[in-house]
Amino acid sequence: MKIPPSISERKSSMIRNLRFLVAIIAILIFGVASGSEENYQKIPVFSAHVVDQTGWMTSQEVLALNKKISNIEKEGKVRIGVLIVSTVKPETIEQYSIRVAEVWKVGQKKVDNGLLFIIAKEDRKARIEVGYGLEGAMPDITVKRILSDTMTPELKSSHPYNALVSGIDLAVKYAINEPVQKQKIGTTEELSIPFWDDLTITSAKILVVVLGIIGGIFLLIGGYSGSLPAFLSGLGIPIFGGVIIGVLFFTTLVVSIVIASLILAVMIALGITIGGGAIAIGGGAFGGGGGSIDF
Amino acid sequence: MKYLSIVLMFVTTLMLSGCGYNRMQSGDEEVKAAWAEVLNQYQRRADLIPNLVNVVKGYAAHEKDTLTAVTEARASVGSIKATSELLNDPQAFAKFQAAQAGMTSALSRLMVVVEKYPDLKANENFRDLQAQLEGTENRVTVARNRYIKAVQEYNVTVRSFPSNLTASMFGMQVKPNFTVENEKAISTAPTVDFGGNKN
Repeated sequence: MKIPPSISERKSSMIRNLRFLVAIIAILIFGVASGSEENYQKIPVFSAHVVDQTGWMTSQEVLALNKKISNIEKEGKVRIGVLIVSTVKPETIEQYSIRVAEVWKVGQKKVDNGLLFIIAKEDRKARIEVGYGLEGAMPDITVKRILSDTMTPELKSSHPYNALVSGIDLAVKYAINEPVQKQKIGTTEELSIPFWDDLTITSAKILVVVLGIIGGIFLLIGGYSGSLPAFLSGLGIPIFGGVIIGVLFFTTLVVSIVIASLILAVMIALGITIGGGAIAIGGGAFGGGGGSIDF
Repeated sequence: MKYLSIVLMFVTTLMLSGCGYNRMQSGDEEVKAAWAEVLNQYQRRADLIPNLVNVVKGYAAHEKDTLTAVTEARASVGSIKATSELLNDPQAFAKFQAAQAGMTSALSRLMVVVEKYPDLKANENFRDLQAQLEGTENRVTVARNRYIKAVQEYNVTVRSFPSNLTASMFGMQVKPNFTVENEKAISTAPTVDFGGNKN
């Protein structure tokens, strides 16, 4: 006759199986959460007003342009970002540019007075992305003219510095001539709290499931062996889990705000911002306005 | 007593779905805002058409078929009442999407035809209209992409457990999304053979 395994032996094998189950769940969740895009070009960090990844401009030119833009931004009407990459393939320059705009967030939040100049050197394409707030002052026709009449000749003869200087001068003239318009519907947001809601809720759900499983199994053990302690522990765990979840539920918003502020403070201290860089936190929103040109 | 823990588990799960309700409300507002922007940009495109047709007519009067197609496409787009109500009616939404896709293909055919007329291409008015059209098409694309993202987030909330319980309690349904099959057909510009190979 087989001797039934002792309670402690069953418990330890149960716990081993549960650890395995939790590990599987964790792997599934994290595995699913990470996804990679096809070979889209990466978006460089917005570390300075001018980011030239191709070395098309000399370092003095980059310095001078940075200074120029800083002075323009001191006036407070426009914010400017310049990015030179070698290629944006397989995307079009419009597709790449709006992605950069949504990460860099050039321009002041709610005012959306950002201008983003993007040049793809090997693709021979240039684009100016105009923030929502400047769409009135710089309609697509104007942008197209700036690109084709002012910037293209210089770009064609490989003088990106001249192209950008004259392009920026002209763009700023238009931008400051008219009062900046109110923000339209923009969907680029800063650190959005719902993400933390999701994380808290997801982990809470996992906790409930795991605790429920543990509790249910202990219930089974308790019911089978008829021993009271196991039965009670089977009951206690779901109750305990319920209390934890209840606390999490009511404090989710507060907790997420606190966590978010702490992380934001750390990031600011480290000089990193959400999608920003050493540049002041922008938050400007873009709607796809502007123009592109081949040179 | 055994059932008590089951009940407790159920109750705690429902408490979590209470969170889902708020997320669904803000998701719903996002979807509405994104949809309003899509409609806005489509309207902007439709508004450009009359000027465009007039300018092209001045140089390419022979291309009556293409021009008529564009005008008719605009009329069919204009006949659909474009409001947020479209989101609640999948059939109307599909009709709207089809009409806009028709507008896109009529316009791209027009732009291909225009290549045959260098004078037209050099015309100041036409260049301006072309710049506006390109800008608007890009805005439409951006607005659509943002709408698609907003709807995906909302639909995931509505369909996931346990927030789908809350959703059915309050009668919230999945919102329609743009289908991709049309995209492929309309994004490939039709090729026009100018007869250069025939000799």
